[in-house]
Parts: sequence; structure tokens; C-alpha cells
Amino acid sequence: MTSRQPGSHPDELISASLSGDLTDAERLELDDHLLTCRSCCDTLAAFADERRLISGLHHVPAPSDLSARVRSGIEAGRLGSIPWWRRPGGVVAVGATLATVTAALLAIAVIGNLRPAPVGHATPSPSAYVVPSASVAASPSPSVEATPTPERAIALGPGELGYLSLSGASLEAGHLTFNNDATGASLSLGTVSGPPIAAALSPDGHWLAYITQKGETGANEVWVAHLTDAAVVRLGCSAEAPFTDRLAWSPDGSYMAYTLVSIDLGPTSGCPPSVTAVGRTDAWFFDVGTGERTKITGDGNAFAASFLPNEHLLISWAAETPWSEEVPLKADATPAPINGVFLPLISSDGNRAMFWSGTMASSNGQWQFSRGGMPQLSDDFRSAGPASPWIGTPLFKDLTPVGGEAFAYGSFEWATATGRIAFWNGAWTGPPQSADGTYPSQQDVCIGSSTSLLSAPACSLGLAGKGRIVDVTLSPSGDVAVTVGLPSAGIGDPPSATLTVIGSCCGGEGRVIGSDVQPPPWDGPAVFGP
Amino acid sequence: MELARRLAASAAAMSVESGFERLFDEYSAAIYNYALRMVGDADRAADIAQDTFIKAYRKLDTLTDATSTRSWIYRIATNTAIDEMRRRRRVRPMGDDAVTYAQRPDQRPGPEAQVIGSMLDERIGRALLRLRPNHRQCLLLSDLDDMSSQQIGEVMDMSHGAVRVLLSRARSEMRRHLAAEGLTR
Repeated sequence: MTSRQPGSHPDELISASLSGDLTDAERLELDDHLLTCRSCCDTLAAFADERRLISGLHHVPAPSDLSARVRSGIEAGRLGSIPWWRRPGGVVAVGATLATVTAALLAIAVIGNLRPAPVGHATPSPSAYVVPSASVAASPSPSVEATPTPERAIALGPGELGYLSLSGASLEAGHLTFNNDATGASLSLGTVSGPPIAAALSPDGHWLAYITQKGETGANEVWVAHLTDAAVVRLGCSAEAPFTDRLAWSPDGSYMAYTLVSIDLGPTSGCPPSVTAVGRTDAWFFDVGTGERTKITGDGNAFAASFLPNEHLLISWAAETPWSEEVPLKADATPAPINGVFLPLISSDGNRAMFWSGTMASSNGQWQFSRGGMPQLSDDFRSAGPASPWIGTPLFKDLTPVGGEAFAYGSFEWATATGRIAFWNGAWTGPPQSADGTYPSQQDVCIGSSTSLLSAPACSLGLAGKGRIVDVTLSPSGDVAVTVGLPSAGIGDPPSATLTVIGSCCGGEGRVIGSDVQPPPWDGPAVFGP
Repeated sequence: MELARRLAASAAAMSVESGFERLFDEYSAAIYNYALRMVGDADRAADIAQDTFIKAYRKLDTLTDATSTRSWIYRIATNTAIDEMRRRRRVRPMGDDAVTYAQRPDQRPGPEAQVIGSMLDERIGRALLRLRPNHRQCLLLSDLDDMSSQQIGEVMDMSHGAVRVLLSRARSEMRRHLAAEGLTR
């Protein structure tokens, strides 16, 4: 732990927190300090912004002739013989004598192991996972459902907030837009038959994946929109079910994985009839490069979880004892199960994961936890010893499943530049565990960090009772954007939701997006610019 | 006997070539980008990347531990970049690197988003070039190349604690420069 003068600000700890270089004691010291120091909250936000900006610098391809220049330099053996400011591209360098070669041979075994070990269990999968699209009625070229005329592009700057907004009269299809809160720019995404409940921006900011409810049918629709030309693609319809609102982009933005529960809404619904039995849950992915969507699993109990830094997808299978596997989408390999791990969500640095553990059961085609369902935090994949990093720590420090009664389901989220985490929509099946009988509650939004974890004080954002928590998004610096669905004012009224952004620390006051609009539209969910 | 010796030498050379190619494939793009952000000039960055890999080829025998390969190649790149910047100052004073960067026109074509992205990159690049070189190095290693303090210490030959202090100072300095560019609070 660092020693600090009384009254001084822990800039060094704030800086180190961004790269996960704090000990547990230092993390506690910093968390305590941030609770009361506005100046350090500002410093944390500024440092996080700065890290995000630098890490987001565009990757510039190396010159195409670099390899030839190096090769030429090695073979020419003239490094240093030509003044550096006059050195032509193909000249320079040193001789590769046989002596050099022989000595260097010792290093070959080292170079053979250059690639860092994959995070977690490296268990690629067989190509059999990728079911030919024709056999599962996946359209190779998804149709553009809305907005055939290209509109002006919309872009989010780093950390800028974008949000979906639905407006429309009662009992009519709503008009969906995507809006940049900073610039006021808006992009039409066409009409939809229900409010949006989840959204995820691709890492390059060019694509937005989102889920909308399909009227009162109990179904959802999954979409992806290209924000530079407003083309919208419907990826499929799904029965509403826990754990199916995850929209997982691969780190390079090539793929977006999602989960569909087969449903048959009839020939006029706009949803293709299911070719498999209703209620089967399977993982799919959308290929940005080809526009194809592919069903990855055919087991009927599989969920798309999240991508690892190596672009492999983690897929989870619901069962009495659930498990997950690491699946390369375009390669042959043999998978190995990660037992007891369900729906892992990998942190942006790839070093840790949040996931579910417990016993699952299916009811009417919907999988949820029946006993001991608890969100967990993995160990750091870089420092795990002989024990598996997937032996997790419960995310909640002060909740204990009694008689197996715990969470049936819930959702969690990471902030990209900080260790901040969020948990919401937790359906606790046991008796309350706080003295006042209000905790845990499905109305809670719990905000903590990967070191301080979660507890009752972390679940007091003041949103309880205002409505249903639809979605929570964390900005890269840890600001919290909460979409709250408001109770309906009457039968047939259009749905309403408020989007509130709350500062990352010191209990900053919430800012309601679009609060002056009447009647209140449905604002949210939010995403943040990469 | 002579033929056998020749064949052994030939096989050894082929193994070195293969290993070096893997090293180049793995790190050339990252090293080029690191150099580019260090000096803010594409041609100079290419020279630094070129010299880095030529030196790496010569020094392959000093690489003894697979886990340190990344630190090892970045250490060579860092020293090469520092040497290049020193030589440049000594032989042909150029003034402020930031001015050089700002004066370089961005020739890349592309849609609006790419143009906006390029402008943003340029402002961040200007702020980076106003940092002291050692501040710039550790900030890039941390935030661009996602190294831990431990790894940065291996590259810069500093203790873990010293890296944390240096990184904190670099962030404070960068905060001021980014604010001057209107990019952070």
C-alpha cells in the first residue's frame, strides 16, 4: 500500500486502478476515499477518459514493405552504414552470420510459444456446431426490414451516450429512432411493434444490435442496424425468457452472437415459423462481413454468452448443472466443458468474468435457477494457480442462499475502463435478508466494483418503486444509464420508459434524458460510444 | 561429415528464419503503432519498426524466457525510438514534435465517421507528443498496449512502484494536454 500525506489525493491509486494494479487493501482505501472526495472522482473520470481515448486510437496498418525492408536489412548487413536521415527503405542492417544464427537457435523454442495463453479454458469446438443455415431456415441474406432509403449517418464519439427512443400513438406500431444525446442527431430505425429492451453497440461503433418486444405476444425481435446507412436487419423472433437479452459483439466487431427461443406466432406475424419444436433455446450469430446469420447450436438449451479476447465465443448450456464451452466460430476444434459456469460475461480486458452458478430447471421452455442461483466473479485469469479461475467468489457479500433459495435470474454488466460492475433485475426467491425487509429487490440496481463487490448499500440508487428496471448500461468511466419502464396509465396506452444517467461516484444526481417530452415516450436502453 | 555439418547449419538457419517470421508476424503491427504514437510521424515510425526487428534478429540469443518476449521486443523498440529522437534533436533540430504532427495532412479517404475519427486521433496524438518522452512511453505501454505496471517495468527497466508513480504523473500531465485539446474534463 502507498503512504500518503493526510489530506492529499491518491492520484497514484486512481491511476493504478485503471489497469487493475491495486491490491485489495489499496482498492478499499481508494473506494473509501472516492465516497467523499469530489476532486478525486473528477480525477478518476478524467483518467478513465484519457485511457479510453488512447486505447481507442485507430490502429494504423504497418507499411506493406516493412517485412521486405527488415529482410533486406538483415541480409545486407549494413545497419548504421548509412546516415539515418538518408536511409532508403530497403537498405540497412546487420549480417546474419552463421554464428548469429547458431546462437539464436536457442531462442527458437521460446519464440515457438509466443502467443499468450488463451483466457480461461482453451477449448475450441468442432465445426459441427455450425449448423448449415439452410437446415435451420436461417436466411443467408437477411432482408432489410425498414428504412430502405439511406439516411444520414450517426456516430457516437468516445463515451458519448446514444439511446433508442420509441414514439407513437396507442395501439399502433411505434417509430424507433437512435439518438446521440451529445449532438441531438437522430437516425430513424423504422417501425417496430413494441419497446426496445436491450441494446449493444459494436466495438467500432458502426452497428447497433437491439431487442424489441413484439406487442403483447410474449415474444421479442432481435435486430441489427448499420448506423452509417440506416439499414436495419431483423435477425429473428424469440419467446421472452430469462438470460436471452445478451447481445454479444466479438472484440473485432465481426460477429454478434445472440439467443433465440423458438416460437410460432402464426403466418401473419412477420416472424418465420419455427422449424423446430417451440421452446427450444439456441445460440446464433450474425456475420457482419457476409450479412449471414447462423444457428450455432441445435441442442435446444444453449445460450450465447460473450466473446473472449481471442474472438472465440463462450456458449452456455442450461441443465441441472449448467456448463459453458469456448467455441471458435469458423474453425474445427474439440471443446471441453467449463462445468458449473453459466452465461459468463468477460470483462473488456479479458482478465475476469462474471457468471452464474447454481442448479437450473426448465419450466414451459424457460430455463432459470431453481436452487442456489448466485452471480459469481471469477478469479483473475492471469494469476490463477492450480485451481480453476472459474471457482468464483459470490458477487454479493451479504446474501446467503437459505435452503437453496436464491436468485432465479438477473443481469449483470461491466464498465470497460474501470472495474465497476452493475447487477439488476435479480429475482430473489428467498426471504429478504435486510432488517427492513426490502433487500434484495428486483427493483434494485446494484453498483459496485470487482474488488468491493456488491452488498445492500450498493443497491440504493433510489429507483425502487419508480417502475420496472428494463436495462442498465455502464459508461466506460462508470456512469450508470438506467432504463425504467413506467407503469401504464391505462389500457392501450403506449409504453413509456425513462432513461436516467447517474454519475459514477459521490452519489452524483441523476439526469433524465428527454424529460421535457410529453407524452413521455419510451427512452432507452442506452449505449456509449467506443 | 562436411555435408552433415552443412545440412545441420542449414536446418538451424531455417529454424531461426521460421521463428523470426513468427516474431515479426506477431508484433510488427503493434510495434509500428507504438512507434507511430511515440514520434508522431509515419516514416520515422517505419524506420524505428524496421530497426527494432533487425536488432531483434541480432539479439535473438538474449531471449531466454517465453513470458518475456513481449517485454523484450518492446524494450528494443523503446530504446530504438529514444535513440532516434535523440539523434534527430542532435543532427537536425526539428522543433516541437507536436507541430510536425499537426502539419501532416491526413490523406486517408473515407466516410464521415472515419474523418471524425482521424481528427480525434490527431488531437490525441498532439497531446501525446507534448508529453515528456518517458511519460509518453509509459502511458502508451499502459493504455495503448495494455501492459501492467510489472510489464512496463520490464520494458523501461524500472521497479513496479516507480512505474506507478511515473504513470500517475504522466496521466496528470496528459489530462492537462487533453483538456487543452478540448477532449476531457
